[in-house]
Amino acid sequence: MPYRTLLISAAALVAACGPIEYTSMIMKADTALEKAERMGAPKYAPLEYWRAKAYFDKAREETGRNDYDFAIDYATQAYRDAKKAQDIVDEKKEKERKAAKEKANVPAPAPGPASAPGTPPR
Amino acid sequence: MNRGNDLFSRPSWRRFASLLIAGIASSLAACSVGTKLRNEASVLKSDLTPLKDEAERCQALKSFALAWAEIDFVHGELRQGDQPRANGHLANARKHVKDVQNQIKKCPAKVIPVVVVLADRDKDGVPDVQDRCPDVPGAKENQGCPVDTDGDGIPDNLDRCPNDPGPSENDGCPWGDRDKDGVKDNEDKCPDVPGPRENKGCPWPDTDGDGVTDNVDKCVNEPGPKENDGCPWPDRDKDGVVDKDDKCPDVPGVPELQGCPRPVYKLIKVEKKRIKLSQKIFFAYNKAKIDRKSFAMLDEVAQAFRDFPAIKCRIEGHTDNRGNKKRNKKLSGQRADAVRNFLVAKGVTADRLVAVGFGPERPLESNKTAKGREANRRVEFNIVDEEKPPNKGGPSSPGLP
Repeated sequence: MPYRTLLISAAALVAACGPIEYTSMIMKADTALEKAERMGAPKYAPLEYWRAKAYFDKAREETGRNDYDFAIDYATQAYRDAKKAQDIVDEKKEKERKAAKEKANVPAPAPGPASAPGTPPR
Repeated sequence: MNRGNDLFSRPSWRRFASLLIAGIASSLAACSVGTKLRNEASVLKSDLTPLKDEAERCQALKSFALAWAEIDFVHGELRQGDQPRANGHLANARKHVKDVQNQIKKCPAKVIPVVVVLADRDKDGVPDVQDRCPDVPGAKENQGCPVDTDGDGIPDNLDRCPNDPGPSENDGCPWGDRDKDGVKDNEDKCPDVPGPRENKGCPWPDTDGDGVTDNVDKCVNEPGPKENDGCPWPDRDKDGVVDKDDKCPDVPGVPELQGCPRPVYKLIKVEKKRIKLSQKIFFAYNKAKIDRKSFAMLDEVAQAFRDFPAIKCRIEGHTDNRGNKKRNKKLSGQRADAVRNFLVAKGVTADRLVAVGFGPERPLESNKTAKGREANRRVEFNIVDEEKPPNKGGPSSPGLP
């Protein structure tokens, strides 16, 4: 009897392993996606952001069909794309900041004489 | 053999076989549809992939991403064996690919930056097409032409006087006027000597050196006064006294007589230092009264004074040494005075005549002989210079015969 119970519990745990892993991954993907959106990914990294969002939705859809393996794959893909989108946003914003700084540091041209009526070289 | 036929002839086996065949056929059919979908998805992906750059440019990356994902989902569904869903994702993928293509179509054509290197012959940074002076370096603000502050057409870098307009012949400086004659040096043939504009800035010449310049000299080769337009005064009688000063312009004469001929005297002779008398002046004995027979000669003397208005004379009375010396001196002075008075009476102005009596002091010859004494008794007319004061020898002395 105890041997049977242990076997059933193990089987249950293995069976429950899919949703647990899925839950963990879908939450990570969700968080990453939300962060990416807040950072402005739809503007700065639309390809990665929208693909992540599509994978994320597909992962949830697969969950509804209890196909956790595919759901985890899609959630993982969604998470990767969301992180990639964040990196791209960071990179692009840094570039913008540098450009703005350089523009601010460029000294204004010194006002010169309107004309140069001085004696020219002979 | 029969056993075999029996086996296949049993209904259960027949049903199994038909089911097996149907299953295999169904599997083959499903496999065929799956392959078709997979191929279509691959074709769609190969259509989509090259659109990435354009999709990015045209902000169609959302559709691109969704199309990409839907194609992935097709494969995923096929792996799961769900062809209807795969078909649905394929339809979605097609829709998104179409969206991408439409957005790219609507997007303005890509502007390919064309770097055109414009010619700039004078290398002033202003391309020739915009350069008003393509062969002369100049400032961009001046449309590629050099700055010309004084506007004389000569750029400042070549203009010696950039603030004063001047011709190029003078390096952009205005012409000067060194001799200040009002004729600019470029028009002045004598830029260092003042001269009128009419003679191109050169002074008029004076060929005959008469002080009258040739432009107003009617006789450029003959000296003449300004009053006669640079021509010499005429001298009809050629006596050296020009007609305007010649009282006898048609008779040659002497300058002392203003061009008139020297008069001819019978009894006297006008010399340089004296008026020489042809005979003595006779007086009454022991008196200072002129004898009548000397009047003619003294008339000629008076005439000489009129003819030579410049001469002045000292009338000297002299005696011999006989008799009282004092009295002789007094008498000689009185006789000189008498002659002077005669001449004044004849019109000679008194200031031209001085009468002096020397008595016996200046004999001409020896008083020892009668002839000598005769020669010593005399009256002389000595011409004196105007400047020299007359020798005032005091009143006349007696002793003249």
